Amino acid sequence: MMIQALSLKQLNSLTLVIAWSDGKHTHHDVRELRRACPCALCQKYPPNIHHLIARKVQPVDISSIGRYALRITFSDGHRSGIYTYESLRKSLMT
Amino acid sequence: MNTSSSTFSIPQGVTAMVAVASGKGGVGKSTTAACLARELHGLGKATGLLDVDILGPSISTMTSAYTLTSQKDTDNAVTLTPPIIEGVKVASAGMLQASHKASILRGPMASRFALELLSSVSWGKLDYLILDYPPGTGDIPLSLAQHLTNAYACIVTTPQRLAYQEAEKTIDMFQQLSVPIAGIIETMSYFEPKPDERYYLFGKDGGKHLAQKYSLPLLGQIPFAISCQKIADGGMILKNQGGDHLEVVQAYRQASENMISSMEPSEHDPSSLSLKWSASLSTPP
Repeated sequence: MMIQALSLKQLNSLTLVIAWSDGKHTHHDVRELRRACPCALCQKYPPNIHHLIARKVQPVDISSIGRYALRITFSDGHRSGIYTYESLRKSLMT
Repeated sequence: MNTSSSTFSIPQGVTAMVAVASGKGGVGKSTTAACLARELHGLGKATGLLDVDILGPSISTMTSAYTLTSQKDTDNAVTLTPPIIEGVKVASAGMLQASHKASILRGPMASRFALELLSSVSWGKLDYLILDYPPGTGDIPLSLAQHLTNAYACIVTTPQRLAYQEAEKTIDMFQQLSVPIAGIIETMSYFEPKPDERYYLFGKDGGKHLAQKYSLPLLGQIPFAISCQKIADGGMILKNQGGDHLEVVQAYRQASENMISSMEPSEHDPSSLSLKWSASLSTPP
């Protein structure tokens, strides 16, 4: 059976926690999510992590896209990255 | 329609949507979508039928449903009221323009139009909304699949290789987008002009083998009937028909029952997650 995301929770100002249907949880540094944004523009010109920290960039809103991904709207206005559940689950491996 | 908004509201009163899709055109998607809608209504389910094949809509011709009534609300957004044909609420892109006029649209515009159509129709409470999908895995199927919630796919193919190898790509698309697949319907499976005289016009069991390959339910094998063409062209597909169409009706009734049982509700819908981030929570050391 396909593993599904069950819920999203904010642990503190920098950490998103995703609970999965197999009982596991993944913790995500939101600045790292912004730095590693999968959109075409950021893949070609990755944002500078020091700039993100200095500007205190953090999410404003997180919502699902269909059944397969999350869209994160960041405080710097960026919202074009599509974070697939598959890629977010991969942080369990690291 | 409200074209100023970048988001689309998926009909809230709809319990489940079924995207009737295939890779290849001409395999009987629209016929299957309409017949499933007819049989689900026959099983006592509140059913709607939406033709989102923006570039080649067929449902308005098949059902004789030609007019969507529009109303503007206080925000100037347009709500479309679908006609009810034989108990099924029907909407199609074909109702919004003359049948001989081409929809000349690039992909992003066409997919936006499909989403606007889905979200602007006032469906009310429905058990099932059947979506007659465009063929392939291009802009419209992809955009729709990204926005559908509580949706399932029903894959249509004929037994021939040309059809089922394209259907495989559609299966792959829905699996990549985590849209569960209710099963496969094989159309034009055989032609039986007399009892015990059966011809396999497009090969045998292609859909069945596809179902086995992907461990998906084979919802039905629908025979070929000459009367199908007259019924569809005559706009009568939502009426229950007899004659040599009776076997087709029975096969779709069985396929509908199989589909209902394969669409068991998931314990959790991953398409409804959201979180407002709070800037005031503590920062970790």
